Amino acid sequence: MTLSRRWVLKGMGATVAIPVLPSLLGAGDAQAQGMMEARNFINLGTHHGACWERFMCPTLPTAGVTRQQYAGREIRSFPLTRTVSGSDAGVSPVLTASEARFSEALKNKMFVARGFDVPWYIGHHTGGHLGNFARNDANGMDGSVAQQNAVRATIDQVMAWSPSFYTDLASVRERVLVLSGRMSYAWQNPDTKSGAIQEITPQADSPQALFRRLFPSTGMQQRAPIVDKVLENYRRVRTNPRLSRVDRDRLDDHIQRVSELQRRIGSMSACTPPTAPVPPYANASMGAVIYNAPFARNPSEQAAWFRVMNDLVVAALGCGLTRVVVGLVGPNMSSYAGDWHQDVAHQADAADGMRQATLWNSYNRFFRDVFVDLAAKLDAVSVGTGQTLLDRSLLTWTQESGHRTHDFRDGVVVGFGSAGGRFNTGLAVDYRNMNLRLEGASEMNIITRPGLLWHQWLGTVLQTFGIPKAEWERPQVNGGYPDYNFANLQWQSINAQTAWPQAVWSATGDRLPLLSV
Amino acid sequence: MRTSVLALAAVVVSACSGSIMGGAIDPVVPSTGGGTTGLGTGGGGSTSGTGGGTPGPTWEVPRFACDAQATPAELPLRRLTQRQYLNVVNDLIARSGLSATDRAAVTTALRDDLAPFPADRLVGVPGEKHGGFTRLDQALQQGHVDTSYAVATAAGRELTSSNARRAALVGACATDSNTANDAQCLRDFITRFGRLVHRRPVTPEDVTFYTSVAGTTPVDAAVLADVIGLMLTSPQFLYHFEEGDPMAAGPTTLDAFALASRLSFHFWQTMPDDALLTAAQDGSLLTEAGYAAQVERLFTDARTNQALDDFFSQWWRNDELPPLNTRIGTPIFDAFAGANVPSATLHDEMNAEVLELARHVARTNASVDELLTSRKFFARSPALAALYGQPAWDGTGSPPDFVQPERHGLLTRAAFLASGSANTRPVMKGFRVRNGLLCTQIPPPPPGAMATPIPLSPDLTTRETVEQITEQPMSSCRGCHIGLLNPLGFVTENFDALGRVRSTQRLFSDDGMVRLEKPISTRTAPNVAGFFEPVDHAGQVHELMGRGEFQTCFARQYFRFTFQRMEDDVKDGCLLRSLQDDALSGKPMAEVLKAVALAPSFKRRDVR
Repeated sequence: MTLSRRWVLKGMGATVAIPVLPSLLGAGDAQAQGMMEARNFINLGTHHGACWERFMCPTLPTAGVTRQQYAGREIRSFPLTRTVSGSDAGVSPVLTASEARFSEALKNKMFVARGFDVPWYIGHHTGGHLGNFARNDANGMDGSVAQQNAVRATIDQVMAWSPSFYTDLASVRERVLVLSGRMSYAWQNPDTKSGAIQEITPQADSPQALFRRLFPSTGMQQRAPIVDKVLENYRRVRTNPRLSRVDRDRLDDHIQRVSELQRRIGSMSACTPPTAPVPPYANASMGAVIYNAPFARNPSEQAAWFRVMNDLVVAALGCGLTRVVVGLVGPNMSSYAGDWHQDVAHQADAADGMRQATLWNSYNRFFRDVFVDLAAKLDAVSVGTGQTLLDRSLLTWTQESGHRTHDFRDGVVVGFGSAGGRFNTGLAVDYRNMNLRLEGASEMNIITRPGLLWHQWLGTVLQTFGIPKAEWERPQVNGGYPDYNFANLQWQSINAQTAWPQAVWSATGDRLPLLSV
Repeated sequence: MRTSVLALAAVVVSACSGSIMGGAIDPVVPSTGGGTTGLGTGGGGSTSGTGGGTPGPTWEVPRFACDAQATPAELPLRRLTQRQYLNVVNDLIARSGLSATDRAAVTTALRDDLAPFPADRLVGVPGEKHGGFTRLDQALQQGHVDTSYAVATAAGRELTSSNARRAALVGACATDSNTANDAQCLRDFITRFGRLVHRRPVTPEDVTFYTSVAGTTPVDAAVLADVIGLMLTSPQFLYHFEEGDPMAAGPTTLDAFALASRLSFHFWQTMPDDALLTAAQDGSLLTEAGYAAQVERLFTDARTNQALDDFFSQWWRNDELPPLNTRIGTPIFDAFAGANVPSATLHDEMNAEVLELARHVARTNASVDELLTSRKFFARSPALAALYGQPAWDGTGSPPDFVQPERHGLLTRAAFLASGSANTRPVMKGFRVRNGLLCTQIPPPPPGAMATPIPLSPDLTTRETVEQITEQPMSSCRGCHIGLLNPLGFVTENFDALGRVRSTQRLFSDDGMVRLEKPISTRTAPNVAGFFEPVDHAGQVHELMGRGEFQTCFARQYFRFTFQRMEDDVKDGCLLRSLQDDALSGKPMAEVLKAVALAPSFKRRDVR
């Protein structure tokens, strides 16, 4: 990876809209590191879903729709239309932000894809976002089965440990920057892809800790690191004949981790460390932002905290310290004081629409204050030849469920960035089969129609980033990710074979049409 | 009435196939002893939840079966848990020889480096969302390695950052003007400090390795820092390093130092103290009397309290009690709470109270049953005491009894009652008792549970609401809720969501006005110990739980906590049976807890 290209903050006519970033990065001082080749994946997940389509999704227009037959149904795409109302602009009620921030240009780097299904009852989960269906709450027998049989590494980790993704690790401090627990899962020994799949807990859960992790002080190190000797010690002890085979396997796992530490210690970044974050945001963890003053039930303060985290994420990506960032957004971004889980999310379909309004407004706060903020900041960083960091990235927002809580049907992915030209943007795509319906007509408010499989979305992401199928696909199971086909339906008015026929499963190995270039 | 209750029990059988405990058996089918479950009936009766049998006196708890030839699978090298790691680092600083001021300074300097050490997750029964122990989390993450490396290098740097610190830690030879003694000085330090770090004497090979970083300036501060850094990243430090004979015919008896560590980490969650290391060194730990004396000493020591707290707080799922102050400012909650406005720490005070109960039982000659039935009062804070309607206990002397007659024992303590809202949560109360305290596995809710709102009258009590939602005829919810969950929540509905005694439930309008006040009902059929008759209060449920299911669950849970893994009912049957028998016999709980460490299986490891 070269250190030649300077990256600068684009004026964008709205530099003032990103006031923290210049000071953080030391404007004009940081350098892109092979940015023209490096492409980034960032995924933020939110809990529950259950946002009705009329609030979440752009409306299908009467004209300008591209239609295509695919996997036994007609799929559709259409240009996103940004409607300005007062100081806001949006493509749907949820996907609305300040007009100044959510500009027409930024809208043109956005996509909304809907019609992704987990073809069984997963209920509450956090692992499904990125492919570990086993991390669910077992709110149904399907989930219980998946807990036993669907334990998989998540795609962020598949990417991070693929030699095809990080072809040069010289500047990389974090293969994956994990911002929260319960989303990222990897092997006990990721280098050999062996051992139990385990949750990756974040190494830094506050801006200050994240800053320390990304930009460690160099002044403390007076001598050569002892990490080489640590490795030597483990290899020495490993020969102890009074250990069992499994003990030595355990030491091998540790040795692999020390090797990764050795690599990290040797990583080099040309970036000048940015300004450290300051209180009250610096030391607040995600948990504190959920529960503690001044953040709890205060979406403005929560948004301010996320803006600081976004600054650090952009700095990490811009400096080439990582290329993958994932996290679950803990706070509800709402001032609601009650039991969000039971009284809002689980009551989202209540007839009066009050809880739904609370819910979709919270998602709008997330989009407005967190997601667009991050997209805009990524778009403010030029990597040369007219491209921005956002152009080289795929920034996605995934939700736990579709339009009904507990139910991962008609899942929606909101994205920014084309991953270096691999994705079409400025459009909405709808993969649902409009000739079928999953629930009966008596269901209030929502008619869910079967779409394509979540496996295909995850497989598309892996292919987009050039991860060879040989590293993750098991075609005898399906062509997407993960290789878990359980298709037991307990909650549908039609059977699985009708909803997701072989044509749908066979398509899982394809890059998603209309969306992929 | 009896007829209808038994009819409900039949519904349970047909609709809810929960299984008891580790997932190995199905209570619908009375166990016949041994087999794959390891549990056999102790005679007559049926297992809990079966229905159809004669309720009450003839029921006996299924017993574990002992197969002395069975050998359970061994865990690979266990890493220190987060708590153990933090304790050991602190202990090493405390035993470094540095002055109090310097020790405090080192501790402060390491704080930021220690913070990222990954917190251990609760690991429990596979497929269950709730419960578990952090000790069972043996995942090895990059964070463990990165953090321990950062701490080790920082500790080396801090411990040697001045002449005074080096002299205190290494000895005068490290700072005197005589360079001829430097090499020996370093070797002596490695031998002495290494014995603490490795928790056993270092080998000559270890000394050779550690001195290999020395070069020509063996007691230079940077060299000493590197040596310390290497020690604190070593497998002997970060893992429970227990050697054995891979070629042996069976499990290997631990050597004295490994045994000392196992004892110390089990009871104190940290490294052995000098006395224990000495007992290992002089061989007395390997004698029956010497070992028993150390078990007694360790258990009696106050340092065991942390492990007791961890065990009971995790078994009882104290972490599931949310902060109780999050709804202050909303009309309904404010009206509900009245003068008892919860602080941000009230939930911690509630949890502390039940942990004090557990300590009290462990430190007196009280039996495991006392955990359930004790009416001793331990609330230290005025706010918590006010919920109980009596003055706070100052912690001196014998704790008083509850003054409110409705306080029958464990299930009537605030930590098992409070919900964080203005409403109780009977289903979750029942789940916690059935799944957590009785180790009964509950099948997952059906698809769509809770996703479709059921229109409810605003005039219903919480119990009536729960009944409407979960006990609809022909619904898939009904079996488990009637048979397993709701009764154990309903029986404490005479306490509100802050744990206050009540006889009525106030129903509020959105603006916080009392719109209606309705009498509560605690009458329910608990389905515990094969008993399907109606009961009226928690005291009766405590009595039924104490007929064996609670003690058996205790045995399982303490096994998991001790051995850091799930039990195998067959291969671990002997120890489980012993624990179960002790708990059921009414022995003091302290004796049961100590007995685990005295068991043969505690003292050996299979490295084949």
